[in-house]
Amino acid sequence: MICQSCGQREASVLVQTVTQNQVAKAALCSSCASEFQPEAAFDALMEALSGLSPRARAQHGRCPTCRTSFADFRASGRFGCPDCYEQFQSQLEDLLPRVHAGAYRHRGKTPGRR
Amino acid sequence: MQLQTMLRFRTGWAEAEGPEHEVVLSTRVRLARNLRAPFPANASPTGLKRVLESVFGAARAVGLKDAAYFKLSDLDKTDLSFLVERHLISPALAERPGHRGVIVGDKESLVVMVNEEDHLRQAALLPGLRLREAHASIDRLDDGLSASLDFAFRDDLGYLTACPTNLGTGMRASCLVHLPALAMTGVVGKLVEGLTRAGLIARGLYGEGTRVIGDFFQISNATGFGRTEGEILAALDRSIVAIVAREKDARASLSAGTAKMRLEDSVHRALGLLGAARLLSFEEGQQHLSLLRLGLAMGWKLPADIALVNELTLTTQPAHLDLLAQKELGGLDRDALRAALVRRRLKTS
Repeated sequence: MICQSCGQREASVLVQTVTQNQVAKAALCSSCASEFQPEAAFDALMEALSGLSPRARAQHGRCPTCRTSFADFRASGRFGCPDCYEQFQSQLEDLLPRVHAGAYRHRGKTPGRR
Repeated sequence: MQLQTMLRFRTGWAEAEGPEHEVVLSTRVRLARNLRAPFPANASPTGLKRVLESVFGAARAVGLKDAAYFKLSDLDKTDLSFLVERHLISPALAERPGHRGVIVGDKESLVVMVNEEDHLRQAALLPGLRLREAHASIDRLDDGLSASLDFAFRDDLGYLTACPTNLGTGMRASCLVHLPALAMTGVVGKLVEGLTRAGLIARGLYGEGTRVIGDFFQISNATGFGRTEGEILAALDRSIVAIVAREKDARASLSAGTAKMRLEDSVHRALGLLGAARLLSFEEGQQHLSLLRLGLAMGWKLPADIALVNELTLTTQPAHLDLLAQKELGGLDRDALRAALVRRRLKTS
C-alpha cells in the first residue's frame, strides 16, 4: 500500500486517531508518520505556550549563547542550547509545572562527575 | 546497501524470553543527554561533527568496544530505513543523516543515537518485562560516558534537553506489548484513553506517534521531571502488569465456548494464509502474524513458535526485504519475497 500522505513511499504504519468518538485511519510511510506526533506532553507544552499572558510573551532578549529568542521557542517548542534555560528561566517557572503534572524541581539522578 | 550482515544477527530484544514475554515483547529505557553546546537542530556542521566524534570516542573508551559505529552519512536510504525498522534509529534521524550517527551494542541491546533532537539518546533494550534491568544497564553506560563527556545539567532542572518535555531525568521507559485479545474485544481504545489520563503514552510499533499495527502498542511514561527514575519505573511497571492481566483475562474469555471456535478458526486461517500465500502485503502479513502469535501465546499446538513470529514481524518489513534481495524492490516483488520468506521459515520451523 502506498503512503496516503506523500503518495510515494510504501506505507508501513496504520495511524488511527480518535477525536470525539470519530475514528480516522490512514496508512503512512515511516517518514510521514514521524511527523505525526500527538504526544500528550508536547501538546501540553504548546498549549501552555499559546496560553501565556501577553506580558510573559513580550519577554524580550535572546539567549546570549545561541541567539534563540522566546518567539523562536514558542514557535518550535525547542530551545537552542542549554543556556536558554537561564535566559528564559522566568517563563519556565510558569510553564514547567503545567507540562510536568505540577512538578517544579528535578528529583532524579545527578551526574557522578560534578 | 551495506548492512546485509546485520540480517544474520539475532535481535536480542525480539527473543521470546523474559517475564511476561507472551504479552510483553520488549522493554526499552532511553536517556536523553546533551553536551554544553548548541542542540543539534541549532548547531553548525562543525559543531555536529565535534559532538559526533566526542561521543564515538567516549563510547569506545567505556565498554562499547565491540559495538558497531555508524556515521549515517555513510549509509544509503535502504540502510537507514533498515535501522529505523530495527528500532535502532528514529525516522527523524534517518531524514537528516549529515553528521549524525548511531552506536549499536552486542545483540542490539544497547544503542546510542548521536545528534538526534538531543546530542545523545542512549537506550537499553531487553526482551520481556524488565524495566529495572534495562534501566540498570543504560545507567551503567551513562555513568561511563559521563566520566568523559560533560553533560548539561542543573541541580534544579536535571538534564537539560532541547525540548523541555524531556527535561529532568531525560528518561523515557517503555514496553512493547501485544494486545490482540483486548483489540478483538473492543476495549483497547478505552484502555489507551485511560493510559493517557494516567500520564502514560500509548503508540504503535512502527515509529513515533503511531498506533496499532499487528496489535502492538508501545506504552511509556509521558514525562520524566519531578520524580526519581525509580518512581517512574515503578509506576510504569504497575501499569504494565495491570495491562498484562487484562490482556490475559481477555484471552481467557476468547478461549471458552463459541468464542474459542471462532478464534481457533481465525488463527488457523491466518496460519494457512501465511503458509500458502504467493503475495503478502506488509499490513496483511502483520495482521496474520499477530493472530498466529496469539494462538502460540495461548499454548495451542501450532507449527511455529513465538520467537519465529517475533523474527518474522521484524524481517518482513520493507527495508529488511530490500536488504535481503540486495536491491530496492517494487511493491509486487517485495510482496512476493515477503510471502516466500514467511512460507520458507514456517516450513523449516
